[in-house]
Amino acid sequence: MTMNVKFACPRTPSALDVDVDPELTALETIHELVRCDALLPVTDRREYGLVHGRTHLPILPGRTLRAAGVADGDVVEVVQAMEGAR
Amino acid sequence: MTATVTDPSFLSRERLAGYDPHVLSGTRVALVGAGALGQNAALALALSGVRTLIVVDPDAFEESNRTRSPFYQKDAPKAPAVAEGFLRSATHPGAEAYHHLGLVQAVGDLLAGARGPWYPHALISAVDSNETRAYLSELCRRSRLPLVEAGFEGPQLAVTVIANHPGIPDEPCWGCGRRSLRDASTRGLCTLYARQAEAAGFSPAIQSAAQVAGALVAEAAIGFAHAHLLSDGFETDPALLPRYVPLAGHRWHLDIRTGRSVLTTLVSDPDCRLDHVPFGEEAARVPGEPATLYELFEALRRLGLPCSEIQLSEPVVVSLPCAGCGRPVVVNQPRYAVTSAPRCPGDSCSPGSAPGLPDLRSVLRASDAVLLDVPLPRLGLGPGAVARADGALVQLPGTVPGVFPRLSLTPHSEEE
Repeated sequence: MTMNVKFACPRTPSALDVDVDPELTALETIHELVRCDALLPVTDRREYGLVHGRTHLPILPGRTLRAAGVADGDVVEVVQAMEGAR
Repeated sequence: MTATVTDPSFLSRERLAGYDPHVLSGTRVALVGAGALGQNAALALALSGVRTLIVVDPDAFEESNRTRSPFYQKDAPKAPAVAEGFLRSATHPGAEAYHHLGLVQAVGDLLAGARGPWYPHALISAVDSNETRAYLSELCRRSRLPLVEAGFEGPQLAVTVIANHPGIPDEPCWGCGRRSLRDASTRGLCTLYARQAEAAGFSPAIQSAAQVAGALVAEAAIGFAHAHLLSDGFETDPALLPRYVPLAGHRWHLDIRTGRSVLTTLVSDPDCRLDHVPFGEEAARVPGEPATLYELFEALRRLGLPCSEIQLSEPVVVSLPCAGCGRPVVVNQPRYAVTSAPRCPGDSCSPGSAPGLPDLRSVLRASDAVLLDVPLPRLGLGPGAVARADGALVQLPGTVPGVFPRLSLTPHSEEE
C-alpha cells in the first residue's frame, strides 16, 4: 500500500508528486530521491533532511514516514544541511 | 562620535523596533569564525549598537575571500582584522572587541565555561567545519550558553537557534537528526575545508547570502541579550523565549534567489551522537597560575580538592605511531590540534620496528610521571579550561580580558 506525497526539493521549481511506501524511513526516502535524480548524491558534505510540511517537524533519519505522521497528499520538504560559512 | 547611550537620539529608530540601548551597552557576543558569515554578523552587530564582540578564528585572509568579506585585509589574520572592522563600524561609543588567532577548542572553556562577568549572552557559530560545529554545540550545551549557528551554499542558507535553556527538558541540539557530525579531516581549519569543498565541486558562498545569514544570526544574538538583561525570570522561565528570540528552537532554511523557505521546529533525537548533558554545578576556580600538570595537582590540593585524576573535556594525544616507521612518537597535544601523523625526530626512523598504538587519554593521573612536567596548554588545559578533578568541576585561571588582545574606542572597559 503506497501513499501520495509531494516532495519539495531544493533547486527544483515544483514539488515532486510521487507514490511512496509509508514504511520507508527518512534516510531510505532520501536515498530513493537521489536514485531517481531528484537530488544530487549524498556525500560527506551534502546531507539532506526531511521536514513534514503540515507540522514543520523534522522527520528523524531512522523514522518512517508513517511514524512521523505523513499522510496521503501531504507535502514533505527536503532540506539540505548547510556547511559553508566562508 | 558624540552620541551617548543615554541620548534620546542614540539608536532612536532601533528603540522603536524594540532594541534597548542599555541592553546593547551590556551585550557581549562571542563570534567563532571570521569568514564571510562571521564578518557580516560582526557588521550587523556593530551597526546595531552592540558593545562587546569576542572574535575567534585561526585563519588569514586569502584573495578569494574578498568578494564576501566586508573587513578584508590582504593576507591579514582574520580575527584581529574583524575585531578592528567591528570597531570601525560600531555605533556604540564604548565599543570594544577582543580577538584570538587560533582554534576555538583551545579557548572554548574560557569563552563559555563559567558564568563569570565575561560570560557572553550568545555564541555565534560561523564555522565551516562540522567537527567544530559539533564541538561548539557540546560546549554551549555544557555551559547553558545560547548557540546561534548558520551555514550557506551559494544562494541557500540555514540558520539554527538553540537556547540551551535550563528550563527546557531534553532540548534538541545542533546535531539532532544529523549524520555527518564529525569531519575530522579539516579539524576546524576553514581554509583547508574550503579547498576540499572547492575540489568536491561545491558552490562557493555569495555575499548576499552571507549578508542575510549574518543579519539573522546577529538578530538572534541580540534577542538573547535582551532576554537575559531585561527579564529577571528568563533563566527559569522558557515561556519568555518566544518574546525575545522567536527563532529559538527552530532551523530556518532560505533560498535568497527563489524565496523558498522552510521553517522547522527542532526535535530531540534519541540517537543523537553529541553530548546533551550540561554541567550540573558551578566550577571551582583553581588558585594561582599552575603551569604544569604537577602544579595543577598541587593547586587543587591547596584548594581543598586533593585528587588523583583529572578528566578532560577533549582527549589529549600522548603519542602516535611515526608515519615513517611506526615507532611511537611523543605528541602531547590535544586531539583537535593534531592534523597529521608525526615522524621520528631527525633521521631516527627505524624501518621494521613493531608499530606502536596511538595513546589517547581523557583522564590524566597524578601517577602519569611522564606527563607531570608537560605544560598545561599542551594537555588541552589552557587559560580558563574546565575539567573534572575526581568528579568536582574546576576551572583554571583566566578571563577573556586577561588573555585576549583588546581593541576599543575608549581606553578602558566600563562594565555596566
